[in-house]
Formats: sequence, C-alpha cells, structure tokens
Amino acid sequence: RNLLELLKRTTIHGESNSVLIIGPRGSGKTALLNHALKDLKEMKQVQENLLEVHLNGKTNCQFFMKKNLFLPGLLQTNDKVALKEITRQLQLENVVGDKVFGSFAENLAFLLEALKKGDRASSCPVLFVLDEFDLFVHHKNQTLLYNLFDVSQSAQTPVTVVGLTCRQDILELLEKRVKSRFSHRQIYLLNSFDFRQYLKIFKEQLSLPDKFPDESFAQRWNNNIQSLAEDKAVQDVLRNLFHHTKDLRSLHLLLV
Amino acid sequence: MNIQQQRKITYSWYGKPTSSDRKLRTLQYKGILIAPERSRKETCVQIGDFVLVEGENADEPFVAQLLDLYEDGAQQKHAVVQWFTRIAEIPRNKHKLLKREISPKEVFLDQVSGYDTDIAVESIIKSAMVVPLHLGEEIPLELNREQTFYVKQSWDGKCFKVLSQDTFSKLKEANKKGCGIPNSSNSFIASDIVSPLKKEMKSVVQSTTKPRNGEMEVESKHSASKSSLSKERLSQRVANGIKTPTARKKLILNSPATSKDRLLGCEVLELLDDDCDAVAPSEPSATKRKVKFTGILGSPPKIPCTNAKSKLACSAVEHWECLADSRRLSPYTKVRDFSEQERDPHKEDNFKCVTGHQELDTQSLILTPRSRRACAQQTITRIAEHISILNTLELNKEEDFLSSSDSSYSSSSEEEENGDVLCTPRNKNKSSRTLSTPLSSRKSSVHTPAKTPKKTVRFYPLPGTPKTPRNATPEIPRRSHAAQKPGSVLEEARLRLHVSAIPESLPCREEEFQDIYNFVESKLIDGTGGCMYISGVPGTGKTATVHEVVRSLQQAAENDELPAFQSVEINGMKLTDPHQAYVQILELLTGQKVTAAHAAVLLAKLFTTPGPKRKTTVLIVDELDLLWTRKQNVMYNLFDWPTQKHSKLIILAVANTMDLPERIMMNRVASRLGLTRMSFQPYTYKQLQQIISSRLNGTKAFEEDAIQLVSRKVAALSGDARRCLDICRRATEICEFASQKRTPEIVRMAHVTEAIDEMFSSPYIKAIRNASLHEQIFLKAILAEFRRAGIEEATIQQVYRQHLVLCRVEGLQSPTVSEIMAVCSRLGACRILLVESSSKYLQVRVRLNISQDDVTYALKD
Repeated sequence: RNLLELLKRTTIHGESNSVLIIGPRGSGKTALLNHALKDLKEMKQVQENLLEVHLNGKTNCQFFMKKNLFLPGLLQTNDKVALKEITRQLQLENVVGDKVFGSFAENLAFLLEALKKGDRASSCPVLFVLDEFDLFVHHKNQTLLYNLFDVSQSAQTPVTVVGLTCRQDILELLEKRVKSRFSHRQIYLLNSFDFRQYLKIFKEQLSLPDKFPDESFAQRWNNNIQSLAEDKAVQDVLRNLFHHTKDLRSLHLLLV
Repeated sequence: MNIQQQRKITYSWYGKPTSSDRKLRTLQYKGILIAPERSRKETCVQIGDFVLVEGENADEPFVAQLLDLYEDGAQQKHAVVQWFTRIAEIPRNKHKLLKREISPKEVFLDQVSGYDTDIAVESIIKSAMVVPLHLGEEIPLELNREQTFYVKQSWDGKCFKVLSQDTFSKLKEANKKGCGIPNSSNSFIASDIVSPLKKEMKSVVQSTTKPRNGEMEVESKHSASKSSLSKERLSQRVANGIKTPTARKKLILNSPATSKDRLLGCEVLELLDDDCDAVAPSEPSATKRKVKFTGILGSPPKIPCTNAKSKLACSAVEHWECLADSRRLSPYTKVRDFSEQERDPHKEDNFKCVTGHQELDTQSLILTPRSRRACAQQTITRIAEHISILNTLELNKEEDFLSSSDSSYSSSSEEEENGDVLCTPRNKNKSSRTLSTPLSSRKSSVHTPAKTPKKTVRFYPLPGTPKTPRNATPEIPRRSHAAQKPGSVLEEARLRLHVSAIPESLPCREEEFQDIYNFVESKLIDGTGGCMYISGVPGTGKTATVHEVVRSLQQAAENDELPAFQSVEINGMKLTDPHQAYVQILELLTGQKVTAAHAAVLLAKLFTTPGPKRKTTVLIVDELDLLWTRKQNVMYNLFDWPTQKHSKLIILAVANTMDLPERIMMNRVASRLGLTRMSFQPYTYKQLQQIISSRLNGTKAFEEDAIQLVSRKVAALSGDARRCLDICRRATEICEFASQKRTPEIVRMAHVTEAIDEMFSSPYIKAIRNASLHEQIFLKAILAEFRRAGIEEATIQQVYRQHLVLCRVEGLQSPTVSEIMAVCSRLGACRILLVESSSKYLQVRVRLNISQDDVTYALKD
C-alpha cells in the first residue's frame, strides 16, 4: 500500500524516490512488488483511456510508457554486466540486437547522460528494481548504486529505485555517501501471523476458487479440505513446521 | 601524434632584424621561416600574414594574424598576434545573436580583451588565409582549402559587429600580401611535385580501368600541374585562380592593374574561344566534347543542369548583354560555350596538357556506363564551377567597363548574386543525383564531398559488421503527458522539500560560499592556477556550494566583471576507473574522445605548454578519494598542473574526509595540494531549521515545533541535510495519509515522530519478535551457551545441545540436526547471526550480530 503510493507518485508527479523492502526469505517481498505493479498498471489503464480521449486529434497517440527493470543481483556479477543490462532494457539507441557495444566507461557515461538529459516534467519515469540488493552493495565502489541514488536525488529523469533484500543490516553496508543519498525509506516485511492464520493460509492454498467450472466437485473438495484442516495429525505436522519456520514457501513445498 | 610532428619543426628568422630596442633588448624581425625537418618545404611567414596557432584541440587550431615578431633577451622568439575566433569558441547561447547560419570556415575578428596576444613562435603551425567578406556575402563554396577562412564580423565577447571599413581594407591588404608571397613559394613547391604528378597522370591515362577516386585526384590535381608547367606568371595566376577563385577574385579586386592584365587575358581568351569555335568541328577534341555532352544528355542529371543554365540565363541577362552577341543563344549552346571557355584558360596555359586532360575525360567516358555517369556528374559540377568563374570574369569586366572603380560594396553585391547563381546549379546537381539510381547517388556521395562537404551526407556502409551508431544520442523516451502539478499544500511542500529542488539560495553556507568565491575570483583575475580542498561529511552542501560559486562566477564573467573561464566537473564516483578522469576532462574541455593514456599526454601538454590563447579552467573534482591509485599518479598530475606557470587551472577538490591529504596521499601529492583547505561543519539544528523553512518558503504545511524536532533529531545524529529533508517529506506523506478523512492539513508533531521512528528504528528487534518459535529458541540457546562458556562464539554443536535442553523444558518436539542447520542458515541470511561460511557441518562457529541485551529484550515475552 505504501509502496503503491510511492510508485504512483513517481509516475504521476515525476518525483524521484528510493525505497528498500527488507524482509526474511519467503516473506513475500517480490509478491508485494508485483502486486503493487499490477495495481499500478491497472490504474495506468484508466489513465491511458483518459489520455486517448485527449490526444485523439493528434496523429499518433502516445501511451504512457513505463519500463520496469528487474535486475536480479544473482545474475549480475558486477556493475559492468548490470549496466549493460540496464541499457538493454531501456532500449537506448546504442543497442543493436540485444547487444550492447562499447566499453564499461563509455556505457556508464552514456547512461548517465541519458538520465541527465531528461527533466522532471517531460521524460517518462523509470523504475529500477534491484533484486538481491545486498549483492549490489559488494560491487566495487558501489558505483552503480551511487549513480542511481544520485539521479534519484537530483532534478533529472524521474527514477524510482526499489531494492529487495533479506538482510537487516543492509544500511550499514552502504558507503556513507551512498547512504546519504538514499532516502531511508524502508518497508519491513515480517511474517507476524500466529498459527491460526497460518492454518487459514493453508486452507486457502488448497481450496478451489469459486470460479471453478465443476461446482459440485469444488464444493466437495472444499469440504474435504475443511475436514482435513481440522484433523489432529495434519495440524500437528503443520504446527511443527510452523515452529520451525514461518516461511510460506516451505508450506507450499510441503503441500506439493 | 601531433607532438612528434611539432618537435620536428624548426623556426628561424627570416631576414635581418629590422629594428631593435636596446632597453628591452628585443630584436624585431619582419618574417620567420618555418621548416619542418622532414620535408624540404620552407614556409616564410611575414608580419601581416595569417597563421594557424596550436590550440587545445589538435583538429581546430586557432587563427590569428601576425602583428609583430621579436626576440627577447633570453633568445625566446615571440610573436604578437591579432586573434580570430572560431564559431566553436563562442558560447553557444550567443549563437542566436548572429541570426544566420555559420559555416565552420567562418571566423570572427576577436576583440575580446582577455586573451594574451603575446605568444611563443613555436606554437605557430603554418600560414593560412583569411578572406574578408561583407556581411551579406555568401561564403564561396567551391573551395575546400584547409587553411582558408572567411571573416565577416568581429566579436568582442558580447555581440557581433560588422567589420569597420579600415579594418576591412587592412585585412584585404594583408591578404594581398599573403597572396603574393605564398604564390612565389608555391612555385618552388609545385616544381617539386610536377614530375610525380605527370607520371601519375600518364599512368592514369594509360590504365583504362582506373578507380574513380584516382580519377578524382587527377581531376583535382590538374590545375596544379598546369600551373607548374606554365612558365608565365600570368597564366600561373590564372591556374591558381581556377584552384582558388576567391583568392584570385581578391587579387583582381585588390589590384586593378593586374585585373586589367587579366582582362587583356580574357579578351585573348575570347578570341581564342572564337577561333576554337571555328576550328572545333575539325578538331578531335571537339568530337570528344560532343561525346561528353551526349553523355550528359543521356544521363538524368542533364535536365536539371539545363534548367539551371536557363535559370542562370534569366537571372543574369544583363551580364550576358554586356558580352558578345554570340553568347545569346539557346541554353544548350551556352553550355557548350561554357565548356569551351572552361577549356580556354587551359589551352592558353598549355595545349598539350589540355588535350591530355580531355583525352582522359573522354576515355573515362568511353568506359563503362557506370563510370560515365560518374564522369558526367563530375563534369556538371565542374561546369558549374566554371560558370561561376566566368561569371566573376564577366562581372569584373562589366565593372571595368562601367567605372573600373574599386568600390567594394557594389562588387560585393554582385559577388553575392554570383554566389547565388552558383548555388543554384549546385543544388540542382545534387537533387538530380539523388533522383538518379542509388548506385550513382552513392558514387556521387563519394565524389562530391570534396566539393560540397556541407551538403552531401557521407555514408560508408560497413560490410558485414552491424552498424554501431557511435554517436547515438542518449535519451530517455519522452513521457506522453505532462507531470501533474502539485495539488494541495502538502504536495507543494513535498516538492519543495525534495533534495533535487534547487533552492534559490544556500542558507547557512554564506561564509563558505564567500571564501570559495574569493579564492577562485582572485585566481581568475591573476590568471594563475591553484587548488583548494573542501571536505565535510555527506549532506553538508559541499557540492551545492561549489556549484553555486561557479554559477555566480559565470554570471560575473558574463557581465564582464571577470575574465571568462571554462568550468569542468568530474565526479570520482561516476568514473569507472581513476584514469578515466583524464578522458572525461579532455572530453569536456575539447570534445575529443581518446584513450586514457593519450588523454593524459594531451592534457599535460595542454596545461604545461605556454598556452597562447586559453581561458582559465575551473576544474571541480568531486569525491576525490576515489581517484586514489596505488601510484597516485592521477592525483599527482591533477595537482601538479596548477603549479605550472602557464596552466591557468583552478582545482576545487571535494571529498568527505578532512584528513584525506594526510591519510592517503603521498607527501609529494599532499604538498602540491597546498594548504588552502576548507571544511564544512555538519549543520547545527538551527541551521537545519533555517534550511527547511527557507525551502518551504512561506507555505503553511509544517508546525514550527515539528520542524524543530526534525532538525534537532538529525543534527544530533549526523547533521545531514538530505536526511532532514527526507524525514520531512515522509512526514508530509504520513500526514496526507492520515488526513484523508479529516480536513486539517498541517504536519504535526505526531506525524514527524512517526516518520522519524520509521527511519531510525532498528529492524532487528522486530525481526526477532516475528521469527518462528524454533528460531527464537535457537537464539535463546546461543545466549545460554555464551553465558556458559563466557566467550561470544560457539559452534553449532554446542548450541544444539542447549537447544535440545530448552526444547525439553518447553515441552516441544526436539528438532533434528538438519532442521537446526536450516534455522541457523535462515538467521544467518538475515544477518542476525554471523555464520562462518565453511563446510564444517556442526563445527561451524556462530556469533551474534547484535548485542546480547537486544536479543534478551526481544525474547523477553
């Protein structure tokens, strides 16, 4: 909800932001982000419709373009690769057939120039999603992070940097000048539910949705699930797992 | 590359000293010989000549006129010059003052006072030509000589002025002189080149399958070779004129006597022309000519060509009237006339040569249709050129007929007309070429650049390799609709509080601002170099202040209160490698793109050689500590340049740490950095308060107490203004969110407190509280183990034993070892535990990443 608000502001007002989503593994960081993006896109749909009405007179309706960059840290071993990836995803002009040419230095200069050129009002906002943020921290000099945050702190192209990480001490890993540029917005995701909620999630996972074609079958299935959830042995197993970990992903694994 | 060339040039005085000054012990000379060691060619430059002076950019030397040459007591050769400014050197924002297109060949008489006019002779590269033109005149297009420039207006740093009458005539005179001497020297040079040229020509004639480029070369060299072959001075001048019509134009204009000569020559030409006409059918050359014209007829370009001719005829009827009646024929025959006339000077020069030339032409015509087309195009362009020449001739003649006065204005207007006429066939030619097949168009694009470099687009398709757009313009796609304007007071406030919003002034940094300003200003006025080291913790406004200083200095420079300067900024963080700093500086200074090593050499040269005409450079080096290398040569060089005598470089180095010079720099680097230092203290809460209120600037969005709370809190922690602004921004968001139902919209204490809590709260305790049961038990076990052993480290095995005990106490099922390992690794991933990364299984040591008290507090309930 918070994140959604933030992203909305970036896209609509052209404000630059940076945010970190911190939470242990399996606490739904990526799910949250995806959800927020989906909501955002739905809203954009509305906007687009509005836009079409306004721009009908013109020859070509330009739609609000929005690019999402997913940069999983595990794939980007160093800044160099990450940078190329950004350029590729931004589909800038020096990209030919999904390949980026030029040296690292050139690319960096190029990208910075590209981001510098835009101003608040005219260029379309860019959302950078840095998955496994902690791995970017280990890059030499944290050049990439510095530059991204710097862009988000200056009157250039509106940029939102979203970092996803599971490390609680991520801020201490940032260099102080990088840290100063980060807006210190953090969203903590924690699995703060008790066993009853856990059981409810378990039931929701298993039961069939209402839209299932065969209604009578769905009815029967859901009833069975209900009785299964009330079974003592099942509850014991689940409780045991719950005590070990609150990770929802392990629950999924167990159910599969 | 350039340096090596430079080294091999020797400079020696030409003639005896004309005058000397006993007191100053200076000897004045009237010329200097420039002799590159490699070639025998010697150029003599005299006072009044135009020269190219080595500049910061190797491709674009400065243009200047020599006013004086002397040798001082220390045997140093000096020169006093009048500068000319290239369009590239004029600030971009002034370009619109001109209200017209500027060709790169155009220069402006420099009347800016800031530049040093006394230069070392060694920086002169070679002589050049500067042709004065009147404001309305077109720059002659047909010439592509490197060293020819045109001057129309003067530039005094603020506005452009038309050249005054006397400067104009002075320049002309100088130009005349300049023409005279190179001409004589040309003859030496030409005679050297003659023989190879001849051979080349022959070989080209012999070989039937000659490459088009070679053809072109021969084409262009013809005039030169002709000039060399001819013995007569007049004819030589004609040839020269063909090569450089403007120069010749000048010649004619300037010296009526020679123009009369020329006229005589022209009359002779006409006679010859008539003769030729009569003889033409019988001569083989004439048939060839016909062949050529059929060629033109056959090729598409013909139509526009004739069109152009007819147009020309229309526009210049009165000129034709002045000429012989025979000229008034159909356009087509006129074309022939032109071609004949075009050949006439050649004939006069040397018959053999011309025939050879024509043979060559025709041979190329007889070749494949492909080359014929190319040739036809060539001839068209050539014809166009010759038409222009003829026109000028006619104009001159007319002028002579009318008054023979040298009124430059009338001539200029006519010349302009001439230029127009000349332009049209050009354009026609071009359009025709684009109309023709792609093959020929490509060919023409290869051919014509020499003649019309500005208009034709060169493209060299690289076979095989995908085209890499080297100079792609980096740009983020535009957004389709404008960003929404802030609606409420809170949104407005948030916008103002964003770090990127540039405040009108920098509160609380007035003192530092003044210090830096004074430093740079004094250096600028003295024209010396220097550096200053600025330090301070992040978010104290270092970079902002420095930028502000540069901005206000630029303002002052524009108002003529200070000498003009150039400012360059590099950021250590934005460089991928310290050595890239050189590349970036050079690119920002001159626009060249070279490798790091080469850039270092060029920069060193730039800053250490006595730069004759260079603005002072203000270099801002942000995040200096990242330029650190093992040998520290980047830093050393950076700080060494300002100490050089001629560098005119002012460095403002910005970094976080106050004692950086002592800590990481070697002594020699630190000593060069100097003692001019300044440290930015962290903001106090009062200052922060002032900053926020100045940013808000009257918008009622914050309670006074709330601002104070924020600034006190931040000042106590870091004094980072960025953090302060971020908290305020967050507070407005919270406020906005809370006040969605209710009306009052003002950020209160509660909101601010919430924002602060959100930003400064420690995540660990919350994380532990929300951990699963076994994770919590595991932490308890660790604590127990630590207490038992007395050291803050334990292996998993020991912790596991404790864990089992605790489980039994709690009445839980005891977990297996692998489950414990999973728990341990999960805690490790969150960095609540520090886990040794090795494959020792149960012997892996763990320790807590947070204090034991925190853990006990978190686990209390």
